[in-house]
Formats: sequence, C-alpha cells, structure tokens
Amino acid sequence: MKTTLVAILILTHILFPAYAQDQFNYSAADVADHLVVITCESDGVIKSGCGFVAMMNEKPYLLISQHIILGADKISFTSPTGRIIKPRSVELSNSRDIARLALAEEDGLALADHHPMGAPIAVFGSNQSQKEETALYGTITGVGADIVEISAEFNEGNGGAAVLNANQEVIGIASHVTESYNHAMKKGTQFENKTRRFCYRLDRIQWKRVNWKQYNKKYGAIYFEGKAASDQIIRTLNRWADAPAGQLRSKNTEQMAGSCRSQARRIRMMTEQRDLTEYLIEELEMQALTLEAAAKIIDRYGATFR
Amino acid sequence: MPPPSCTCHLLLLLALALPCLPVHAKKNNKGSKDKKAALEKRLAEEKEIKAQFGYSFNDIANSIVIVSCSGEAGRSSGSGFIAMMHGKPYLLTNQHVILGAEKISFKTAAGITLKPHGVQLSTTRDIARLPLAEGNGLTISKNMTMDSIIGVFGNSEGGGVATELYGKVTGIEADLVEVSADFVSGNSGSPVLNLNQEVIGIASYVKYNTDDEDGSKTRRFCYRLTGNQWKSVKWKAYNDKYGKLYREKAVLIDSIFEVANEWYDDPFTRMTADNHTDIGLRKWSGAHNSMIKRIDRTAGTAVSQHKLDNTNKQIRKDMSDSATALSKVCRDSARNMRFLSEKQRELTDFLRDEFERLANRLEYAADQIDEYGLKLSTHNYFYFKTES
Repeated sequence: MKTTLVAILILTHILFPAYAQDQFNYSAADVADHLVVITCESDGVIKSGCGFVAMMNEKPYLLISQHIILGADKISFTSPTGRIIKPRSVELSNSRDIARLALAEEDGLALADHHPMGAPIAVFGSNQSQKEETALYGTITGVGADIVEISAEFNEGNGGAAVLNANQEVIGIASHVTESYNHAMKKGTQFENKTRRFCYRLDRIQWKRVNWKQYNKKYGAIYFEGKAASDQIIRTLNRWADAPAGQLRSKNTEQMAGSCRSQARRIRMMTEQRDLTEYLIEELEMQALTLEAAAKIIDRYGATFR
Repeated sequence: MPPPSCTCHLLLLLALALPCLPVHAKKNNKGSKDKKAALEKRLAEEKEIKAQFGYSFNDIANSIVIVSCSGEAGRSSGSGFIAMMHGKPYLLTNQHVILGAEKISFKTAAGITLKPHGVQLSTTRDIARLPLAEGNGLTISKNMTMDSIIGVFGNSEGGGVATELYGKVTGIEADLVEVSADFVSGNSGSPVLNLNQEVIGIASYVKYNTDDEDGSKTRRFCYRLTGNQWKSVKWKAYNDKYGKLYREKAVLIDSIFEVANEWYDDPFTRMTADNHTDIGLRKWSGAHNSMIKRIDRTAGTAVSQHKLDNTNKQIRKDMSDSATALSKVCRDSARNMRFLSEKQRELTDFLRDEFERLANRLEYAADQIDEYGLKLSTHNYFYFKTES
C-alpha cells in the first residue's frame, strides 16, 4: 500500500510538468545560450539570480530584475557555459522591476506580441550551483497591462528568469510571488491561502538611463538595508510567535519598536527623491509599511511582557 | 522613602486579558481535508462551466480594465470594463473603487491606458460610468434568467492582472443579481458576462459571516446595468468634498475597531494611533498612552492598603474616562456622517446610504466601548502580593 502511494505521488509529479512540456517543441538546452547567471556580493553576502538576453528594437539587451542588483557591491554576469558578459550601460523601467543592460554584440530571444490567457509557458533559469539551466512549465492564469500571472511554480531563486511561450518568445520576466492574505470573504474560494506568481511584461516600458554606480550608491544601499531590516524583523516576530513567552521577557521591545519606526521614517524620506523610479518608491514604501506594522506588533508584545 | 520591612508589592493583575483558546488539532486536520475536497469540487464545476463558453477571456481582454488608485489612505485597486451604452463607449466601475482617490489609472488587460473625459454616477446604485472618446466595448444584456451561467473577469485581490471566475446566477432582484462565482476584493467593478458575451451586471459586494467556517454562507452581489439614472458630477469637487471624507472615515472605523480590540485583549496595552490622520483618534491615543505609562510606573511599588484602594479607584476613573473619550471620538464622527447624509442634496443615494452605514458602525463601536468602560470602572487592577 505504501509503495503504491509513493508511486502515484512520483507519477503525478512527473506527469504534470510533462503534460505542459508537451506543448513545447524545444527544451531549456535550446535557449541556454541566451540565459545568464547573475552573482551579486553585498556586505560579504553572495546571492545569485537569473537573467537573459533578448532583442529589443533589434538591439541585444541583458534583462534582469532590479531587485537582484540593487545594493550589490559587486555584480558579475556569466552564461551557463561560464562565458563572462560585460554590459555597457544600465536602463531602468520606471514602474516595473526590470533593468535592461545594453550589450555590444549578442544574439537574443525575441519578444512575444501577445499574452493570451491559458497559453502554455515555461520559466527558464540558470542554476548557479549545478551550472545548468532549469525549466518549469505552466500556463498564463491572469493578464494585466504590466504583469502576467502564471501557474509555473517558480520561487525566489528564479527571480529574473525568462518566461517563454511555445514559440520560443519571451512573454515576461519572472518577478514576484505573493501569499494571499486571508479574509472571511475568501473562505472556501481558490484565493484562501493561495500562492500567486507574477511576471512583468516587456512591452510598453518607459526606460530611464541611469549612472548605475551613483544610483546604486545613493538608493541601492538604503533599499538593501531596508530589505535586510524588514526580513530580519519578520524572522524575529515569527520566532517570537513560536517561542514560549518566558524567553522573551528580556527583550527591550520599546527600543526595538523605536528602531523600526526610525528606520521606516528614514526610508519614507527617501521616497521623496525625484530621481527614483516608481518601482523603487513602491518598494521603499512597502518596506516602511512592514517596519511600521512590525513596530505595532512589538508594542503589543511589550505590553504582554510587562 | 525606604519601603517597610514587610513588603507588599503592587502587581498588575491582567484579569481582563482574554486567553487564546487552543484549537483541537484532530478536528482541524479533518476540516482542512474537507475544505480541500470542497474546493476541488468547486474548481471542477467552474471548469465545466468555462467549457460551455463559446468565447474566451482573450476575446474580451481589450474591454477589461485594471483600476489603480493612490491617495493619502495609501494604494488600492479594483476592476472596470468598457461597455457600449446608447451607442457610446463608457468605462464602468464601482463608485467605491474610485471615491477618495487622488490619482487613478485605468489600463486595459491588453495594456492600453484609458483617459475618460468625465464622470457620471448612478443615483441609486454603486456604479460610476466614465465617457470615453472612442472605442468599442461590451454589450449590455437586457435579459436575465435564473441559473444561467456567467463569467466574472477582473482584478481579483488587486493582483494587477485580470482573472477569470465562473458560476451561475443564483438570485435576481430589480437592482441586483446574485451569482455563485467566487469573486473577492479587487473584483469590485468586474463585468459579469453571460454566454452571449453580454454584461448582466457589475460585481459590487460580498456578504459574509466571520463565523462561517467554510464560506458556504457567503453571498456575492452585482448591480444590474439596466434601469439606471445617471447624474454628471464635477468629479474633483465631488471627490474632494465627499469621496475623501468617505475614505477617511472608513479608515477611521477600521482603526477604531483595531484599537478597541487591542484594548479589549489587554487593558494596559499602549495604543498605536499616536500618528493617525484623524485628529480625534490621534489625541485620544496620546492621552490614553500617557495614562498607561502612569499606571506602569505604579506597578511593583510598595504601598499601604489605603494607598492600594486609592490607586485602584484612580485607575478605574482614568480607564472609564478614556473609554468615554474614545466613544466620543466615534459619536462625533457618526454625527458628522449623519449630518452629511441628511443635509447634502448633491449626494447620490449610494453615498448617502454609505454615510448612514458608516455612522451606524461608529455608533455601534461607541456603544461597545461604553460597555467596556463600565467593566473597566468596576475592576480591581492591583492587588497585594506578599513576598516570603
């Protein structure tokens, strides 16, 4: 009985992507030349992301997510075969989490003109540790002016990966994953506890050329610090929620809440800068909101520990 | 002054704090399996309904609109669609989606930015129609039948993409249609289409019960688009005067329920509304927190029986006064809402009803806070703890 169950589970996992993959007459290896691995180092921490080369107005560009490179001290771009790529300039999308970096000479993927609901798609990324390309299959489940929702289950490590249709054309860049907040009206619906995955579209983008070194020094650093702070505080609060109250009494909650609020204020002040992209303003506002909400929760813990 | 040799310490007694009740794990697991099975059944039914449609989302993507709003209350989003009415194209959405917003952007799912040139409001229903200079749109249906199948296409959860949801007509009234398609927040303003690609209504509100475990009692309503009376408004003036107030008061109510719940959970908790945009709530939060700090300083000090009695008496009075002050914030706002609802002739019936609804909620909150204040005014906050 146990064996049968395991076999069914494995079969399901193999069959489902295979069904989606059937719609494709090419594989990840066929587009591997256009995939890029990004390695960033910030404060001694190394992280990696995905990117790809695409043709825009007949010129080759390396397309990546802004959030991957913002705040990085060192960035390197390599192909899955280990070839080093040296971009010439940086342009940022004003409202979407996309950066395009001009390349001198490259061939690239073509962009799709249409984003039809229900169309089969594949998310192609590069796996830094295994030095190979990865493929996740699914369909388009939502269509918007700026973004597209897909069912392929990509995760944070696929940020910046190319999302291609069956014709080997790019329909978007894998961008973010959201967890639905629960509400009484969602009980029993598909939106209860739902994970949703979104890609930015590559059409109708307003590009803004920036001096990357200056922009990153001025804003990337605060974005990086704010993200680290909000991630850290979420981890701490999750730990507190699991920990017995006795272990928490020594925490100086008032000081922690104050620190969250002052950091949120500092981030909010930065959003008033004129040369920021709308995308970064929204990201910074989100960080400030997270820190402010965390401060409120810490206040409540403080009252409990008293 | 040094404490006496036999010390009696004043300790805070959190007798009013409500403990969390543990949930029975076994029952919970079974419940989650049942819920999963029910959802799978529901999605399979949706798939069957979708298969009966002779057109797809892609055929109407040019007419589905994502509405994005921003203002002092933050960012919000909703849905809309383009429809033809008397041969002219209009962008239709709910009034509640756009009211109070400082900036509004309308983009079709196909990526086209729309620039309407005016605003007309339904006098009785939560619908706004915005004339467009040109273009084609969906047709409005004149007929409606019970149990007929429908699709709802809009910005579910404000995710920024249009999704497709399917169901049936489950109720028909003069102004409203009830449907079984599971639309949620963000879908406000979505078109509800029949098999002939005609709009039968606009997804508008959801009635739910927080005690309903599986959502089976949740009901979803759409306003009908036929038989409306439209009223042109100068949007900026109307929105500045009423829309922003509507949104501010909605935020105020959420904040009041939030602080009241925090206070109810723990009578000594510090409130987090010191920076609230509503001046009344902001002032109350500051004064309340000063009181809590004062009480905090009393804890753990050595006192006589007489001083203990006096301290408890003082705290009872302070807590009761604070409750009265918070309920006054609610009642002042409720009065303001009611006055507008009764006296302002230029309001649509929808907004008049909404102001009434907000006033009722504020008065309900005030009553609950008064009741809590009564409890607080009779409680013994401190007691003696004799150290061995």
